[in-house]
Amino acid sequence: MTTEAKNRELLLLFFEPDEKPDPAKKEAFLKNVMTGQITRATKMTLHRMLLIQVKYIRKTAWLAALMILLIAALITKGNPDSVLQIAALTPLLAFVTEIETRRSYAYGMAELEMTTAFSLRSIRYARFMILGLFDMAVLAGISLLIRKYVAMSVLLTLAHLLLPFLLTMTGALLLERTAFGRSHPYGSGVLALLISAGTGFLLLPAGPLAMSLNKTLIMQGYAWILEIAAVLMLITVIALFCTNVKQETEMTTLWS
Amino acid sequence: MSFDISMQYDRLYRYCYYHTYNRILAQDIVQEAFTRYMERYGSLNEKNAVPYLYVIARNLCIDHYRRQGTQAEKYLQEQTYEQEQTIGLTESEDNTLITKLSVQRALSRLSEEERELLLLISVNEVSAREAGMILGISRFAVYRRLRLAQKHLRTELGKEGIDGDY
Amino acid sequence: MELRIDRVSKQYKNKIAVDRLSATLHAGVTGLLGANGAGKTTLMRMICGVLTPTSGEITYNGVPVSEERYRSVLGYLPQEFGCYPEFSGRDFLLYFAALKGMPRNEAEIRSEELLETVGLADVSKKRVRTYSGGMKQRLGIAQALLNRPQVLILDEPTAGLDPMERVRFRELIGEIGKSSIVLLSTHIVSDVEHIADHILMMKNGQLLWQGEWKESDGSLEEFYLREFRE
Repeated sequence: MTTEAKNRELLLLFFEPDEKPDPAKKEAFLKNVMTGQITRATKMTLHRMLLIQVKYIRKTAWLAALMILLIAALITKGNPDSVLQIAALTPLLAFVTEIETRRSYAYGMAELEMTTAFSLRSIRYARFMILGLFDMAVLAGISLLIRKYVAMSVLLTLAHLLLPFLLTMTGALLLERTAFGRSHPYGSGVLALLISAGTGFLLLPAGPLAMSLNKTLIMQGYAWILEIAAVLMLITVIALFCTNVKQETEMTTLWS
Repeated sequence: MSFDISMQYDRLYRYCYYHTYNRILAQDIVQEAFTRYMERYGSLNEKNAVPYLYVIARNLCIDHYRRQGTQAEKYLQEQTYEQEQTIGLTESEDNTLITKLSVQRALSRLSEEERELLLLISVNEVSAREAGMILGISRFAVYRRLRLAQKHLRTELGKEGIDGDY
Repeated sequence: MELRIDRVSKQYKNKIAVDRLSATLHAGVTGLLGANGAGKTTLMRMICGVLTPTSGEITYNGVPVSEERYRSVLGYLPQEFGCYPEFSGRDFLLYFAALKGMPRNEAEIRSEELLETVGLADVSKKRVRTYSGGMKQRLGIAQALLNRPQVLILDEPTAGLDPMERVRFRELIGEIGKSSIVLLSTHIVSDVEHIADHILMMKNGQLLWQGEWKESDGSLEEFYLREFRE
């Protein structure tokens, strides 16, 4: 035993109380203190919640966005159709993101998460906000990055990238409201692939169609339609997400 | 830097019990100290949570015994006297009990501040910086006085027949 | 400390899971007995605010159970629960501690303490998916206790525990019941016989019988079987 420890033992012979504190009283009090802490903590901690969830979002989700960035960087030079090609990848990104916000259900953690102070609802909001913003930031970054090689404005490029992304998210969120969607979480993956094909996955016949439609719009000066559409889609996604989460703060019949 | 509330509760209780020798009062003061701290600062994970808790507790103890002097002194005086009367009978008993009485006697010959320093720093593991905040003296004064207190204690323990490394 | 369940019903399309049930719980251990499908889990989920009653209301000290304030004093162990595959036992507890709003340092200390209490300290770093059923159950109990709940709801907590674990569990719950409201459901009568002060018996969504139960009242099992023969 160290000198300090021996010293302490000796002193405790005198200083240690003969009467210990009432354990029941102590437990009851500590419980109340905990509650006090939590009531205060939750008030100032929406940002803490965000920080927590950032930690618990899987690496794959972040990587998916960065992968697209990488691909964009690689295929843009000297490629006139690059924007649509990149846009074709964004549905998959939307799928990965959407799945990540619903992980709790996939792994049976949802019921427990509903009963905590920061409940399932805030978890989903947090994940959605974080990943969603991250994804859109990456897409915006891509738009900026490739503006030199592309014939359109940054905003228009961004609109091109966002539309399939938001369309997929809308579809996934609508799917979530149905019984089928809830029991088949990867259903939105199929949706993502379909939208991806529609956007211009060159291997499929729909590709050239989308491209020519696109060119027509731009040439005719109606490109702004795409930009407005993107904004509207964004609003739709947010509204849908909020209503979905609101509905799902309690268990639904089919799930239980 | 972790705040273990259960442990700090017990340590504060030890501190308050030393100042009041009254279980109910000590526990009430500990809880009142936590409550007042929480009301002012909210979170126990502040750097200065520990010293603030002690300061609040200490003031509450003083409030109760302002006129009577610290309870510890009274107690020590009474106890020491009683034990001195009965020591002849208990000499054959438990070693720990004898050591306990010796420690008590030794400590009764230290100053109030010396005892306070030993309780805070050597027993309750309060840091020197924190002890300085609680007692209103500089960190260096804490180191110096603690050293002297330990030296004094060693001497007094020696008089009681307790020697050796500690 | 009062949990009031006021004429609560839960109705699904073709089934009434809970039928106008009323009860008031105070500190101490209350056993909720009933066969599978009697509506115990549905009732517990409503008490936890996870399910909304079709009619009726549940409040704790006057606070509706749908509020966040209530959740911060609630601890819940569902009948079944999952876990993210990459989590170790310790990760699991820390995750829920974070969700319960506990600051990091306190969460770490409390998690260690609870892992010791439920006997999982030596496997805390292993992945939860490697745990046996009993181990997972103990982890779930630890999770429910993280925030020192004033209301502890346990749905079939002893399922999967071996006899020795059962005894440890009973002691733990008895201790907690001294200063919290504990509601535990089971279809094994012997689990509650010795630790519950108060018993609720459910059948087909209704409360069949409720009351105090002392050791001197005789065998709870016999009484239970008698009542259910009807």
